[in-house]
Amino acid sequence: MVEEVGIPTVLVSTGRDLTAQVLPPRSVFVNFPMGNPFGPPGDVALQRAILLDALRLAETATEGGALVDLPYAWGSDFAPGFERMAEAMAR
Amino acid sequence: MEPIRYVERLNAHYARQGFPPYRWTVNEAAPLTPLEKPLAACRVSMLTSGGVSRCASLAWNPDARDDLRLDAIARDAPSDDFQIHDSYYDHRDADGDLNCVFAIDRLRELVREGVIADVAPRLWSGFMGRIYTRRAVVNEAAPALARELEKDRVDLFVLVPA
Repeated sequence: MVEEVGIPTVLVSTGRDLTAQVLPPRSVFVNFPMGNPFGPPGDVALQRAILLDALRLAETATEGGALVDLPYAWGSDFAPGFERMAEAMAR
Repeated sequence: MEPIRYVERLNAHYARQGFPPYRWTVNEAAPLTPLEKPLAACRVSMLTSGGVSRCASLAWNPDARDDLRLDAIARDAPSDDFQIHDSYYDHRDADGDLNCVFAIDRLRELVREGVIADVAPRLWSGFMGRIYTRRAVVNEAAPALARELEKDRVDLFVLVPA
């Protein structure tokens, strides 16, 4: 909708499968927990890097649906935390 | 670690909790509007869908469904003047540092560094929770937001689902 009025968009995603099927015009994927698309609290350098990677993609992407995997690692397995959260949802 | 397969996992959880089946959006193609100017000349805005509101504003319903409320956030809003209400993700980190989900301090720093030209007068918070009324988003809410972005002469819009 926004692209259709002529404003480029870029999405910062933590859900690779979701983003791949929605196919926004441009996305960067960070393999971090939902709730941390820009990284851990207080990590100014990493937050800045992820935001900048997203902005740069707006300059470089040439095809709609670009999905770029960013190289940052969370450092621990957050899948169990997600499962607990999903289990508790809407109780 | 491998990326979590959210579609598969959430379908399983939703079914167990008795929610109606979620019709995930699947698109085969995406439009692309080229960025017409260098980043350093761009006015940037940002949207969070993470249940984020100013302390003086209404809290979001943490279990929202089909809530198409959209809050405009002043570009100079202090990042420690926000509350987060959203039961769909773990926002404990973001409660302490809003930039985890809505990197508004980082955005403003990029202006000072000259990486981008400026931050738009309004940033945005909305489309949180589960939205089943896709038609209302596509036909009304999203085009309305696009018009507001045009009014603010936004060159580039950063979308951040929580």
